[in-house]
Amino acid sequence: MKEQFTFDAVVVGSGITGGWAAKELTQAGLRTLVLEAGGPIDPAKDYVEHVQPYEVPFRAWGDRRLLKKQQPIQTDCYACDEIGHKLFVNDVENPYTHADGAPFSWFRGRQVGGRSITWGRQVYRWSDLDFEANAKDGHGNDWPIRYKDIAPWYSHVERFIGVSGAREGLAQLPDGEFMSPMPMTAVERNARERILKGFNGERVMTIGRAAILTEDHNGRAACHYCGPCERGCITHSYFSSIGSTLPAANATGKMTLRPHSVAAELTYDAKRGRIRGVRVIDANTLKETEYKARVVFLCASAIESVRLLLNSKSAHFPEGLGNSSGTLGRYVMDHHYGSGASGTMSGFEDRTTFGRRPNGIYIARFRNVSTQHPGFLRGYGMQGGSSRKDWHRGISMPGYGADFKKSLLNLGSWTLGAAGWGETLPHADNRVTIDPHVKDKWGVPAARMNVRWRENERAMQSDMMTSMAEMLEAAGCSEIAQHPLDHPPGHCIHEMGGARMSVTPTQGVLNAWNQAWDVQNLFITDGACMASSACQNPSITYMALTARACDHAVSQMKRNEL
Amino acid sequence: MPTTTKLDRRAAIHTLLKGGLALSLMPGFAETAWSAIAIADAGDRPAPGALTSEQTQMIALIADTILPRSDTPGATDVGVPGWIDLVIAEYFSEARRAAFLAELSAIDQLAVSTSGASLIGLKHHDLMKVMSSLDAATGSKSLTLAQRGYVQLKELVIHGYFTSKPVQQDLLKVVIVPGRFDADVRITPASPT
Repeated sequence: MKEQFTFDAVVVGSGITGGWAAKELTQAGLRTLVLEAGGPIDPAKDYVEHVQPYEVPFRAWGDRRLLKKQQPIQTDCYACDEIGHKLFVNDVENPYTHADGAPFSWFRGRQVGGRSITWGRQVYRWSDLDFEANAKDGHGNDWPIRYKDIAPWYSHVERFIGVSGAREGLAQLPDGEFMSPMPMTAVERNARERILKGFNGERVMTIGRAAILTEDHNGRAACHYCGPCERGCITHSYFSSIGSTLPAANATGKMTLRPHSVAAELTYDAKRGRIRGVRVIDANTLKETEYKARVVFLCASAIESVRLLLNSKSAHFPEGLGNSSGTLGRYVMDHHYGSGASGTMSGFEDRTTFGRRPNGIYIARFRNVSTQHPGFLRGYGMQGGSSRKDWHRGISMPGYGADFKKSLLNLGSWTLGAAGWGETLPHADNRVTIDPHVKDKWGVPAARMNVRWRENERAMQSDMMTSMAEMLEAAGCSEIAQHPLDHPPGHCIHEMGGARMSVTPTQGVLNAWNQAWDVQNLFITDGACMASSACQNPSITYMALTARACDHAVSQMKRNEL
Repeated sequence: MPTTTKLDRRAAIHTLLKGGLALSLMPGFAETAWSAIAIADAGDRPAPGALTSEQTQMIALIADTILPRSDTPGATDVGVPGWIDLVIAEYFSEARRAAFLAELSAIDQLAVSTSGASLIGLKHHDLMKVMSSLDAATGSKSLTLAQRGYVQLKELVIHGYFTSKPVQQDLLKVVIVPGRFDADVRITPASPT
């Protein structure tokens, strides 16, 4: 069949937002090309969630020689181990740099499905507490939308992907279209009640809201509770583009999916003031092709999309495509996370669980909701869970011999703990630029990161530990220990910003519809569009913004405005 | 070369047993049954050979002292020393390997200085004295060279043992696809661990 080079729409990226753009655009009747830099995935062969440690030589620790040579950055991610490492990029082929003293972790997956295969699956709506935050405290620019603008699109997304969760009626963490929640353990139920009582209902521990099915849904089976979702799911029980949105797009007959397609540049037609198309390098043959379209959706992930714009310079846009505001590449954010506390819970020694729940508990944001904390702005949510200690405790436990072995074959005490996921303030000089000296395997100039945590994030991290310790005490725990954790930016894999939405063209790159102020047929709907980070896991907001932007683009195309 | 590998493993185990490895710690009745498991768990990977015969015997002896054969298999029964050999040879960096081997040597020197013989030649009573001195450091931040080696070895022994197929399947009874999540299960004497 002769290859087609002109489409109604081109979507760059096939992950969480690329899949949504593909689905929405094709279902609206647009002939859509989806470009994916990585190769195809065959779940039957490439998903490894049921591989056991004894089936691999290093019992899941990883082939250090191979991983340190090819994936020295990726292996710092919990999911990039001996079993699941093929779902992460080769760092040698995909380099990036960072400023001195500003380490940045960039964990990536280049394959059809992108990081939707390995993501954390936690999904929380934003509220107006989040959309109004920048305007109220003056950090960053005002969002051009409010909760009412996105709420129907959250529902649209939730109904399709399937979200399990419990309704709590919290203004700062709006309820969604939930299927039945995963159950809390006896320890968690007890802690929830005692924390509610101890803090006058201000601190609410709920079960994690997860894009994991607790009942069959849209042709996908309910979770079978094997545990390690980040290695894939043969039953597509958690949401991934490869198991949900891309098949829906494919069913329309309107989608062309092109793997091994490295988007190197957006081509600009200066006469018409529009994107003409995308210059693509075939990852295998290195042959270059330009694919043209009426509309282009950038869904390549925050840093990749910004990198592509910065690499798309022209006489009209000498500082990067769509950068008349000068904000492109600026206000980059991630969540700072991991500081918290844990403790031992007695009284439940006759209880255990069966199955591996791929989900934990969530404590909704309680700081700076109704009163202002003196130490920091914004807030954090907490994520954690309870479990009984297993044989791992033997490593730090004195003892040896038959009785020691026997004790490790039995369950240990219950532990309960959680860590904070905190909002990062948007700073203009937290930014991504292009490194003039480094290119990737395909000759595309690499990103250079300069992102640092500031005083507000540090103050919040300290409070995460003390507040969690207070809650554990209220819950009745003993042996409470606080855990400081200081991951570099990027480590939470919630990269946001760089091409933010704004009320006016001088403040940002995108308007209220994720549409570039400078180039009307360009939409950016991945994390790059975010004007603030809130503290909730952001993917569902990207998905809702993508579906909303697609609806707007299609409407404009129907009116011949695009 | 799976056949050769298994023969190599079998030969290695035979050598260890011939050398009197920890037999004094093992109830005789279980010996035959668990050695069959060890051979089955050997895997397809060739023996890496990072260790001398004496080092291998030392590691096996310590491993079987930490997790001895009882009514359940011991460390050697499920192939722990072979796995540790692989980790030292291929997982450890050169620097880490050199440091670990120096620490192993320090453990042996401790045996000589406290009981007058190499670790693998110690009588049961003396071996327990050395083990007690090494294990006392578990969880401590201030460690001697020998204690550092022991702490590392203990981690390897425990990880190797509990992630082995016989232990995962037969003792921990890990269900790979549970099919459901029960959040609150009452433990009865018949409950699996």
